[in-house]
Amino acid sequence: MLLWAAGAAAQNPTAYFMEGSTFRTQFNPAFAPLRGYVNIPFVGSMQAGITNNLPLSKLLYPRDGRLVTLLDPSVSADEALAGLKTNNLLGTEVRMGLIGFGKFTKNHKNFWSFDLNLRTNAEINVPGALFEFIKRGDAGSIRNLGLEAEMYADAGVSYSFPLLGDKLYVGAKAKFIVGLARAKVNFDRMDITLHDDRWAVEAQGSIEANIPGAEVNYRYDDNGQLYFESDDIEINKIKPAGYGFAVDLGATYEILPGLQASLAVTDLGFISWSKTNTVSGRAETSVEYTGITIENGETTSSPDFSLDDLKQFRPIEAKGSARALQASVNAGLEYFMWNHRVGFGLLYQARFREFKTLHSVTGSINFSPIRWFTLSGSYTAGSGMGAFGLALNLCPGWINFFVGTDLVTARFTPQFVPVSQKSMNVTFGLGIPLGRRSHRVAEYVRASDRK
Amino acid sequence: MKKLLFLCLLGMLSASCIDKEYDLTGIDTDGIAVGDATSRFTVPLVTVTVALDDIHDSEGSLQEMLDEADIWLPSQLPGGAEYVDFARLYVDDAYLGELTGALVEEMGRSDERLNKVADLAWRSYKKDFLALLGLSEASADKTRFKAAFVKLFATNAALRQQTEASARKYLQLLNVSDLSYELGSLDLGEVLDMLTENLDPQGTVDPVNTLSIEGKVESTLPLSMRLLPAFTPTGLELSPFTIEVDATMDVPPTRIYAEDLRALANASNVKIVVPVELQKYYPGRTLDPRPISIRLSMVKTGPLHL
Repeated sequence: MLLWAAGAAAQNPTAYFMEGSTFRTQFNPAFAPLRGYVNIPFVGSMQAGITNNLPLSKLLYPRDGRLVTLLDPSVSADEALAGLKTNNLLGTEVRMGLIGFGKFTKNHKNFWSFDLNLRTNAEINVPGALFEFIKRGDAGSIRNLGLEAEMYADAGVSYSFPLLGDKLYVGAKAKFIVGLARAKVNFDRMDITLHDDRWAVEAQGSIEANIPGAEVNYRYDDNGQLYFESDDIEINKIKPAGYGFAVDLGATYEILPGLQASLAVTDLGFISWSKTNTVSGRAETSVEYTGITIENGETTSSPDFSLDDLKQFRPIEAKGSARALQASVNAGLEYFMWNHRVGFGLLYQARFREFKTLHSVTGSINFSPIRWFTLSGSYTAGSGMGAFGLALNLCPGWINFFVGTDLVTARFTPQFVPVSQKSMNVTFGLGIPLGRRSHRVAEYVRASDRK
Repeated sequence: MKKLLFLCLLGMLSASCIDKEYDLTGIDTDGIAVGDATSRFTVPLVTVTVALDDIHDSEGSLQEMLDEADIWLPSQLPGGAEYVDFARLYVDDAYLGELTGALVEEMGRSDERLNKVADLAWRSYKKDFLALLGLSEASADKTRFKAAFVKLFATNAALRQQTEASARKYLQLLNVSDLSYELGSLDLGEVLDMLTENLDPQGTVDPVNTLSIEGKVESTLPLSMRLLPAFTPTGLELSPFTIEVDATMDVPPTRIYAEDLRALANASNVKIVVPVELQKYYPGRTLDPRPISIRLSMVKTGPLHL
């Protein structure tokens, strides 16, 4: 539930087709805003989002004045299980731009930028088989019950430029990454047996935490074996725990006058987490309850059933590991009309998450009645999505302001978490424009920009 | 421009709303449970494999008891019956007389039966017969005893009466001691709370959340028996049930409550004591060394509290 409250997904798809926005380069480094900019530190570029593949209304149910979870007996199994997936993903991303600036070169077409961001991702995967077990009370075979969270900072330099007589723009962004912390707990296998003569839980899981300065308070079990639980890891300070590198690669191509295609892959890279900052453990637990068996007058087995055993991880040798970032593929098609004042766009996104790849398609309409004002509306459908979005970009001479959200038509909790919508995104940007307007789009160029 | 922004804002506000039913500050997680009102969970409690030697009386094992019973009973039961009805045997003297009468009648025409009884009389009832056979304890040996018994049986009415009396006494007193097994402590761990947390109280009409002890019993014995299991020291008694001959039977459910199970779980030296009442006996069948298996389970209806 903390994830719901943690924030609202990075990369609001409504911003993809908004030409004035400085956020566009995050989707595709071949894009550029209308003018150079300097973001206001810390508040200049903020994005937060939740990306799930089931809405809050599938997890919580109002019942006689109470708000209960789908695990409450008042929610029938049929009602609770309807709409749940094989893998139910709850994910949140927060990206805070600490520093950001960009500028066109003298030809007003080549664009370079630098930004420094703090990024946090967290993801929980709850297999449908777990809910099935709880609601139906039958035996369960649960796979990939897991949680992963990571925090890192990236510093990136991007550059884009035209080719083929301005029909093709290509761009690249190189990012140096400092890993701050990462943790993953995953139960690969959890088999639950509820036979008349035997109740048993057999589980295999692992924990891996890359946390600098972490101290583990190890404990001993009844057999003198060393173990620890996730609560036993103490975090004393935040400092680099790994380093990495990533690139964003992109291109745009004008197929026909007014019709532009774009393609990019972002966050293609890794973080190498150091061995010295790694805590690793493995849990292979078998908890069984068979009752008492008496044969030949002797008690041959006794019951012993404690689910606490499932939380115990045996320490294993820590290894440094290189972990891929959560990359995305963005492919767009956009058509402009009425002197570039109206645009229609179609965006396909594939986001490669830890437990599942999410696919979505966004349709967008963009109005730019005056050149420094753009309003975009969108609808996104697909895994993790299903929402109307609205974004506004103001770029008069002295300010660069952007706000976008897909919480337009949502029904909210009093804490502003959407009830029926699977995702939510809030994007906010504030900066100061720099230099003259880009010459990439002829319709936007004023006479003063040609000087 | 201002009008346009105002209209946009108004549009957003009109299209979205706060649903107070989904106030995340008041999520009720107390009732989280596995299963629903229609669920039925069977939790193993105790499985007892009863060995033949476990069943005995103060004199000897069940094997020995039935071996002797087979000698005191006629080969063909009166009226062509397949079994001896112990319930009648204890209270119906005429029925007992029919059995022993048939035995004496068989001994009169069957040397084999006569010899078996003579042999048994020498082994276990010598003193009752010595005077009737004209023997003293000092002069009697097995050969002389048996020879005298066989020779005099047809003509000596007192010998026949004593034979019948010995058979009556044995068959009437035929019974077995209580079965008793040490369970030790019943460490149910977290299962205890899962089973007892949401039970409906006694007297609830149409209860959903109930707990009972029930099970199955298998027997290969040629005996039908009525068992009355009880757990000590808690005093928890199960509904009595009858084991039929060579059959698998359900143990009828005995509803228990949270305090019953908690008392059982808290006791340090739990025993299961099973008084046995013999019901029917099918003579002449062989006995399995592990003739009875009793499996008792706790059955929880309704969801399991987590």
